[in-house]
Amino acid sequence: MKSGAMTPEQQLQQFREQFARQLPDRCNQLGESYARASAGDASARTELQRALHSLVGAGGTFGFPQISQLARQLEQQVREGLLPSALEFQAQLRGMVQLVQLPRPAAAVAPTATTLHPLPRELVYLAMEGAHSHELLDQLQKFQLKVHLAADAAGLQSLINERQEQSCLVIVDCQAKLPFDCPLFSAESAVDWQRHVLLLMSTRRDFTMRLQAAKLGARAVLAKPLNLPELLEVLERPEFDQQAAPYRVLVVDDDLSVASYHAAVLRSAGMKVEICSDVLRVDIVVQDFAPELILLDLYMPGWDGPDIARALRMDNQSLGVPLVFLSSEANRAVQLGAMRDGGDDFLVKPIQPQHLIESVQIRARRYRELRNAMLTDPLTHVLNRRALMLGVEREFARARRLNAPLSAAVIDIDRFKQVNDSQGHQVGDTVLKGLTQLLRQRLRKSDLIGRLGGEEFLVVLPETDLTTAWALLDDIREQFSNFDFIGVSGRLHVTFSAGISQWREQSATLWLAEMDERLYAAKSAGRNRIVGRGDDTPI
Amino acid sequence: MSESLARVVYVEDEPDIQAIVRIALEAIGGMKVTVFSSGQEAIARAAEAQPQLLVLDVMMPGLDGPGTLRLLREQSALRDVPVIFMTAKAQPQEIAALQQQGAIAVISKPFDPMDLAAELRQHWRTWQIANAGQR
Repeated sequence: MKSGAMTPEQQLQQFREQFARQLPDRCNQLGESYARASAGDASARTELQRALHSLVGAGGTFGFPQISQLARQLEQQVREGLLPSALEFQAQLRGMVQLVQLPRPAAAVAPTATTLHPLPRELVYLAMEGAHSHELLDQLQKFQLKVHLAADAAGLQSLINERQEQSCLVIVDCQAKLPFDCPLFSAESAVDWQRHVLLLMSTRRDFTMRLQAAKLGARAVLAKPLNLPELLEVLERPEFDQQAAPYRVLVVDDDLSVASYHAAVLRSAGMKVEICSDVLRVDIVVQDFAPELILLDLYMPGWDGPDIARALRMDNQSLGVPLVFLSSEANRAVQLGAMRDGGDDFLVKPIQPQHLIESVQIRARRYRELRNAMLTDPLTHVLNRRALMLGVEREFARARRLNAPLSAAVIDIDRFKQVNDSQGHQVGDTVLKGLTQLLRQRLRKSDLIGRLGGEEFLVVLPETDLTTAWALLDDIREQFSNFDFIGVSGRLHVTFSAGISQWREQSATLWLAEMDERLYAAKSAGRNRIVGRGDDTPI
Repeated sequence: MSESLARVVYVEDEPDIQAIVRIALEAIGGMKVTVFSSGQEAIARAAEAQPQLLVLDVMMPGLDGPGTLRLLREQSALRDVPVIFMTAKAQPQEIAALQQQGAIAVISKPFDPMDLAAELRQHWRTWQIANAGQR
């Protein structure tokens, strides 16, 4: 088999693509079984149910959790003897096929950078009244955003229609006056702006303007001339991030069947769930899995939920994680007692799956927002030093457990002080933001990006060996060096150097020191390069 | 006690899921996986692989997962090997019923291939610890 040369991620990606390619065929077969089943053919009905059932299992496994959800609904209807109408069934099948046709990132240069990207990949741009932004378009393309230019409102509409069910990112450049008279933005518009992301660009950005923009359905008003970091920052808001990492939920319950059920419900909504049925192991699992919410049974043998809550709260690290009790206890006084002991919410069993999912999602989202604010650098929105070090320890544990390679790089912007001194701090800040945004674009969600301080950053790449890490970083270095920043006297090019290292079970401090040494070697060898060995050769 | 999970027998009729589990356990988890496409095949040849863990799909045409398990248990070499079911069913009664068949865990489909090996290891370790006293 040729798979020997591929990383597991690449192999998985191949299977995902294969699954996506075959889905239309699978759906056609489902349609045929459905037709025969609705004509009264009992064996076709069994066949239909089986095929849907296997799609429930396959969809999420191949990276399309919503397909599992849709298939599960259909399977249930078929099992209960309620065949949906033909129209409805066809619509559901079409929905599934569209889910796999959403643009997925094309394979980039480095194999590790092929998975999740936070930003939409395509945008439609319309300049009203002949405004121009060619420079911007160049820059957007460097960030691997594909830009379609619309000549006028009609062109914009047809570009959006071409993308059918897909959600589009639309930027309308509209000078000082918002296009209230344009039918595209009227209440009777042929375009449903709820479904797309509309950003307006204007020379005015006062509150009245923003109110008017909101009335048009826009999500943000960007300053004109547009600067790229600002646009990217808007796009990184969680509401635009359609592929945000799933919430991590820990279910603590001594009854495995109950725990498995709750886990299955939460997983069906795309969350990542771990079960712990042994109270004494809770803290290990918490450290390892870093849950964003803990669902806790109120009564367990030996230890009660409130005991566990108090014990968890004693540890600084899990202080803020929401704890939600889940129990059949209906006594309000007992419930309140449990909350006093550190619980955040009390859900009474049996609970409707949808209710459980929503309660968990709301709290996990709030926690994630809060944690992001606490653990990220306010300027660049990457991890701050403290969060970074916690993350590194977690990756150590993971690498040990999976026996997988782990690499990291210390990145330092070349001659940053000169940029700051000659161009001013604003330009300096833009450079820092530009670098972090590029890193976010090119790295995976599971990679860590953080600011060590000043112009020094650390990226941690799990399941990546030194050679792969070097190739990836070097490609990013090249891309960054071609990037145009706008300085006080025109275009400005900035480079970075990095020292990378593959972890050999040393302490975090020693590991960082090794990277620092290599970074120093890169600087003395003339900057704008990546060093992954003790001497000044690359790797 | 220091033994670690290295040999798994996996029974699954769907080729695409077979392939992804193989990557999840072999390439990511570093285990050796012997895959059988039906219960009958597993009954004939699973013992040869000397598995430390059996992973069975529940819903298979013909002999299903629980049926396969009953027949595997008749072989002395496989009588005490822990078993994990994989299923796309999510109803608590269904999961409870599967656990009553003697499974140490039930893993729901869909699953995350990146985490599957770690999940199996965790269940296996828990089972080992729980059984350590009885030997």
